[in-house]
Amino acid sequence: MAHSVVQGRNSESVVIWSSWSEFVAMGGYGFYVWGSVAMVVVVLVMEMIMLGRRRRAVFEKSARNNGGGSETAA
Amino acid sequence: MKVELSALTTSPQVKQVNNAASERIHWFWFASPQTFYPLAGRMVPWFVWLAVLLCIAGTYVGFFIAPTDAQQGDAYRIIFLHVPAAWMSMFLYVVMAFWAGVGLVFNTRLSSMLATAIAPTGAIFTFLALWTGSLWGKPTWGTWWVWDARLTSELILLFLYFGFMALQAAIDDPRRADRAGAILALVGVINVPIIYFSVVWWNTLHQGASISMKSAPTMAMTMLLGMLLMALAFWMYSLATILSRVRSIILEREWHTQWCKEEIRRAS
Repeated sequence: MAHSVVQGRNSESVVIWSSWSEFVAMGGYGFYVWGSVAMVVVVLVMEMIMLGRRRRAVFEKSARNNGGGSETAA
Repeated sequence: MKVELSALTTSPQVKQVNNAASERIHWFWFASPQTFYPLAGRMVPWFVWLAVLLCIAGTYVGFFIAPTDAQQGDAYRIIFLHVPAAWMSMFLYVVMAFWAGVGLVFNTRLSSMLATAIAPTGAIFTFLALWTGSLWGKPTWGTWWVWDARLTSELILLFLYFGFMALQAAIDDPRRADRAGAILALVGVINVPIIYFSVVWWNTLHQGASISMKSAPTMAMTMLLGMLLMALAFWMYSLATILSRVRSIILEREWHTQWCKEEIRRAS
């Protein structure tokens, strides 16, 4: 693929998409391109949600474990 | 005797040695979870913002500036996600194995916690490399999957991440889990050069490296730029998630210490 790239056009500014529907269609490869983008977004957002949950779980668990015990210790 | 000792401690050479020792100790200042925890907390928002900005820039270059490929059409645009994800999957494995190894040799618990924190993010990028590769393979090769060297070794990488996480989760004592995981991670490092050089060593369907250190770039500059921006974005994202996760791991493991109790009380 590396050798097949169009080289000449990158110096001038080329308008790649003439309309939104053309952008969405991705030259007929829309399913594959947007399928990739969607999975990346879904998985990374899921990871961030799970990180937040994990952090909250630590606080909740420690609140249960300490349950006022920290005051007597202090 | 007393006089000699005091003379010794005040001699300039000894002072120099003491200074050198204290400087060396300073290096390990952040090796303690208690000092690393707030530092990581301060760094996370910076890496999040860098990731967002780089992702916007990379998406703009990749989808609006980079020209359509002469052979592959617009299907090639998957490269802007696929290659950075694949790079991160390999890079994070090496970093994970490194910190696991440091934890194993020097018995520094923060190093091991860092390795544990890296594994899920590494596994995620490995999965994304496989997923986007599959979606790229279908239109260009005509198949979702082949058992060739590059794809198979990348799948093994995913199983190595899963194995590391499963092994650590199966052992109750965290320090023992650290050591067992470290050995698995270190043995598995051999797979990373196999993935990287698989396209050279074997005849595979997968194309060669997108970027070579030896030759001038064969891609259009805008394609290269888009790919590098997305790679940096994934890198910053990884730093943010790993640092955030290691903070949770520190609290999970050390919640019984006084500073953790104070931190939890302060934050919740």
